[in-house]
Amino acid sequence: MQIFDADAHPPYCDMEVDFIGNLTPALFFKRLRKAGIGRAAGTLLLPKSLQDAIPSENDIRRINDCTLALANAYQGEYVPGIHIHPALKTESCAEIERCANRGVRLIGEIQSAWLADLEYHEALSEIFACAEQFQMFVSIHPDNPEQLRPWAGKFAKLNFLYGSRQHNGIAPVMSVSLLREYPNLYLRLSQVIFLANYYLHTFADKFPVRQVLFGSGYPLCNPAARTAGCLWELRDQAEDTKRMIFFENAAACFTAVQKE
Amino acid sequence: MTQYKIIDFHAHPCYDFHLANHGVKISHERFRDDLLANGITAVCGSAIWADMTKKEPAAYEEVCIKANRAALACRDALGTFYQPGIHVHPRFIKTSCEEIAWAKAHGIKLIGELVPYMMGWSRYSSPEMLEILSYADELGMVVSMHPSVPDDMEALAAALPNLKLVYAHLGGYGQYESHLALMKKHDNVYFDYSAHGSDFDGILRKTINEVGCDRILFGTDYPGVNPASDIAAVLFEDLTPYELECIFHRNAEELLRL
Repeated sequence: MQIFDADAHPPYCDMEVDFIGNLTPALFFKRLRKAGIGRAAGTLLLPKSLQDAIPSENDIRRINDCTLALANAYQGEYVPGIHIHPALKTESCAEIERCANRGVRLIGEIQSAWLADLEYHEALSEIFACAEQFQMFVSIHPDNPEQLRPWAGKFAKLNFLYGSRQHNGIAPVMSVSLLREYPNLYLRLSQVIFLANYYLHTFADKFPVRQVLFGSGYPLCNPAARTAGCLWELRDQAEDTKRMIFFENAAACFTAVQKE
Repeated sequence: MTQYKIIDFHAHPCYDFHLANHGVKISHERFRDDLLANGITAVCGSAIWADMTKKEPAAYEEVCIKANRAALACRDALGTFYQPGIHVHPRFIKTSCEEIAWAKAHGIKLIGELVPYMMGWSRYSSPEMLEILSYADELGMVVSMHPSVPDDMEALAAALPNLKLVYAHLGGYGQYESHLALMKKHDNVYFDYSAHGSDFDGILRKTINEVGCDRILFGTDYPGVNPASDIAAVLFEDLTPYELECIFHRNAEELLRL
């Protein structure tokens, strides 16, 4: 079965990653291939110096140039996601427009802290409106799925690809009603809770299958473990369902990029 | 299914922590069949369930005995597939020692996984626990433990250098460096790979390069965690067939004299 990973993050540069050592883009894609993953979508994994501080306009542009270059080098394997930041509202919108014109359809990584910070709401609204205009997918990390409800309703034509940070088992329960209510929400299976036994096995029958995408979280997680874990949980599902979750849903979401 | 024989050193019969969310009861038969379906042919560990947590301290004498009898009942149901582990509690030294003797008399060789955070206590190196675990040492038991804080894990390993200590969740809770340091310093310290290990690509190769492959045990933490993911994580690492054999079964067989 073909596997499309909707949550993978190539390194911004050659960088030290815990346990892996020096992670290069070549090694990143080699490890994914070893795990049976042929395509991956996601933003770049940034060095700590760029993660911890608010980036400058130049930082954002440099990161996204690197993303575009990597997408060019790994055509057919890598679906690029660009970085934006609500502290750089105007620059982020400009980046969305610039990169959309080069085929990019994914922006990220929207943090739960940004969603919780009222000072960022106006900026996020403008950024989301811009992204909606270019039919983007937004990669978003809410504390719990309910945090998405106001955004999914306000931007009904914008697609949100989310994985909750919550580990306690309530998140899948919340996701059932949210996914049914908002067809523009897409659930990534890279959340830790889906490695817990019998969650995906049970909830695969309750989720709208079209809105569920496999994701590994690599290199922060082990892609072979995530793949095998999801396959085991989906063992009683029809082959069509597995194909949708592991490949076809992501391919449909990112069709524009695949045609580039 | 892998070609390797697999012993799961870390699993829990009677587990019901997620039952309210997904509604699937893990019977003894499901416990066995899910693991067998993943190629796991033997499993070790203590019985735990949600209702045993957050009780008054005095209640844990009864809870320990109840869990230990439940573990024995699981072995009665599943035969040699399941190697029980028993609970002890520092508040009840006499009862804990009696439970160890009871376990020994029933052919049980394992204490744990001990889960102090579920039972209202925290330190393995307290005088009370040292008394209990000294007795376990005398009887040749092996102890499986949820990791505590580094200074406590270190103090226990130093106080009872002949007692085989298997800490759970190698690298979990951001403690990899202290876990590795503990293994380097104390030959009686082992780690199982369950649950958290499978999140880290490369953790086994790095650990084996530092301390060898003789003190790492395969574990899943099933039913909490999906067993397929842990097996795949081990196979994904760049390990030799001998290293895989050690982790998947040889080390557990040697430790528990299976």
